[in-house]
Amino acid sequence: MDLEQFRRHFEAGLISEESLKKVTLAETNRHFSVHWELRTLLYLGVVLLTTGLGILIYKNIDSIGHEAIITAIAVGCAACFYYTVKRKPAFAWSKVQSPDTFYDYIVLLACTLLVTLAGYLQFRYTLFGTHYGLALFLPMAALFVCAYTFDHLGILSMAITGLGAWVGVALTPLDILRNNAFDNPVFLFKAIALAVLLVLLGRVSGTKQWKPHFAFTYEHFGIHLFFIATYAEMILERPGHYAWFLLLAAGAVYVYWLSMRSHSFYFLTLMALYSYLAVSTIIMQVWDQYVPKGEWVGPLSLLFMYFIVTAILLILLLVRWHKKLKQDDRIP
Amino acid sequence: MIAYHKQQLDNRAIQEDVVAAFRRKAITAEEKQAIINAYPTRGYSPHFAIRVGLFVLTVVIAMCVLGIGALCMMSGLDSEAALRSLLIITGLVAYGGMEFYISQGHFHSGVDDALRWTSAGLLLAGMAPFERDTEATLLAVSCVLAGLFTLRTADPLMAVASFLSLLGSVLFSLHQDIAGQSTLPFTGMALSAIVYSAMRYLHHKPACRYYKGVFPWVLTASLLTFYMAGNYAVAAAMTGNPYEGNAPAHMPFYWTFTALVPVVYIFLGIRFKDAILLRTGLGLVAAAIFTVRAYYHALPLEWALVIAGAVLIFISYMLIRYLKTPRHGFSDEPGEDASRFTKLQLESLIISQSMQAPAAPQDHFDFGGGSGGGGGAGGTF
Repeated sequence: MDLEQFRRHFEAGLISEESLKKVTLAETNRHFSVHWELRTLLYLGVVLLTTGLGILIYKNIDSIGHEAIITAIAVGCAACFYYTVKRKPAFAWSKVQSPDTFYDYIVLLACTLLVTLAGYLQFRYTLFGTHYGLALFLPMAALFVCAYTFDHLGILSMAITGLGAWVGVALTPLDILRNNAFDNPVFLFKAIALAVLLVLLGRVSGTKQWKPHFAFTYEHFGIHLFFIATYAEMILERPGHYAWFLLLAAGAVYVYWLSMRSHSFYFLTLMALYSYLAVSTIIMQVWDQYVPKGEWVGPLSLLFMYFIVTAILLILLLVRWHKKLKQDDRIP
Repeated sequence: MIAYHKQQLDNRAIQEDVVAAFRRKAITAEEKQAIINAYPTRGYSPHFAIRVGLFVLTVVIAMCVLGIGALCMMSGLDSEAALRSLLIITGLVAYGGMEFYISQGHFHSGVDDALRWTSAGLLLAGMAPFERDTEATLLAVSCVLAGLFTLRTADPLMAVASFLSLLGSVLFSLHQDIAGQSTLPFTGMALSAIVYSAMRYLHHKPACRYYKGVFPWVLTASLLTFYMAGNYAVAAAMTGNPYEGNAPAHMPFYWTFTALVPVVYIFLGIRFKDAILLRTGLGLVAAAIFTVRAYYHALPLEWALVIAGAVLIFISYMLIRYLKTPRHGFSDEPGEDASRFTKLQLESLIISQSMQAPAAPQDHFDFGGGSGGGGGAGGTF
């Protein structure tokens, strides 16, 4: 803070002498915060240690034996859960502040170990037999329970991706485009159903005030999946793909309403860009059917004109929506 | 020099300061409002998400304008001069657009950002030499161009681009003769050090207050290039003679440099409470470790990971406990940017990507036709 400037504010009568003193005090007592540096180091340490241990175990599996490792994981997991359950603040449907810095990390570690343990048991003893769905469902359900009990957004994301895996949809940010079979009709229905479910869960979290701060995470995964899945169906141009465009449009209307309601610029931009992409794709598909083949300079210029005009219109629209949203904006 | 309205930029800085003071409960809400009313800002600088949207759309428009231009002069495009003039004219149009929107009050709204970068890119493409072995000239042009854009718009990334182009240009021109090659690391260090000192000198000058956002970026970049210039692996690649076992001259010097500089950065960062030095130093410790490991395998990888991880956890744990009450002017309180970070909810996304539930062996899964279960299993649709 610029003390000289605050002195000027004081001279102009904009702040009281007491406030000026407080500002001066705050500025001179200001500490150098190493919060993020320390958190990053801690996180890095955990990642390195677990990776190293993983390789170590993998290489020495013959001499250690599966039983010993499973026992170790189980003991570690139990210890983490013991610690977290003991320190856990009373459950509430609102946001609960975590008791100390390490609590969140221990919760994360406990849940990772739990999932590893379940996977290991299935791999070694086929604990769930050939019910592979069950082998994914139980850890996922456990993760959801943990996310709500310990009020942990990271665990919630893990649980949501677990839910996706159980249904058969890859949801992690880097895999959503790479590892999904969008050309498979069954898969598409699953993906869209999952997307709608996630968005609804987000909505319920918000309206019922069941952990309202979880709403964003649900909606974030749901909305991306919905738009990607419906758009994928649109560009495949199977019979009846215009219906998918209508579905996408309906989703866009909902997201518009949602972002106006929850004051989310992020969802608003998402909606605008995905819809623009979809509308342009439809126009190009229709166009493609009627343009005489062999002729391309004229159509190409028209296409460029189309993008220039519509992009300008969309910019104006976004600016307008932004102003509208900002008028009763709760977030500065 | 700067295109943005100066009074507005000053008011913006005052408002940010006042909000910070309010957040630390030093002033009352009425006082905050009174100051904000006394120093109003107008103009358009939307939320980050809107900015990204406007950026993308503006780039689409600029590319389509270029496309239409190319179609209009279709037949003339086989000559290089015609292509160049098309690129330069479009670049100038984009630049004019940027100036117009800035005069209309757009302040990092996404529109002015996009026009700035497309304009710079088109102008560079239009002026750059197309022949072989002209990297030094290309980078010199890029340095001047990005430098001018930095002066006009105070864009931190433009400034970094200008600095890196300058460095690249000098190094490439030295690289062309054998005698110059052996001096490459030292030239790189000297140039980085000069730029760093110059930026340090200018950083807090009142005359440079409109460029305040530029300095941290260039300072970090110059610290990184300074280290890279003397890093053993880089020096070996730049000056090493393949016929002599690829070892650069002054080997002990480079190894000492590789190991010592990150520590010196961290030490100075703590000593002078300089976040830029501290963070760069911490990042470079990793670079130093990777360099050493690339040449010497004293420890198997897994043990190195386990030991490094345990040491990191121990150090950070002890420091967090130690700093529970602030000491020696250091604290573990989340800073101002903490709330912005949680608002983006980035952390949970990083967790969902990096801590994927390692599900049981994937080959055995079969989701009735649809595969891609468990976040893996590609290729077996």
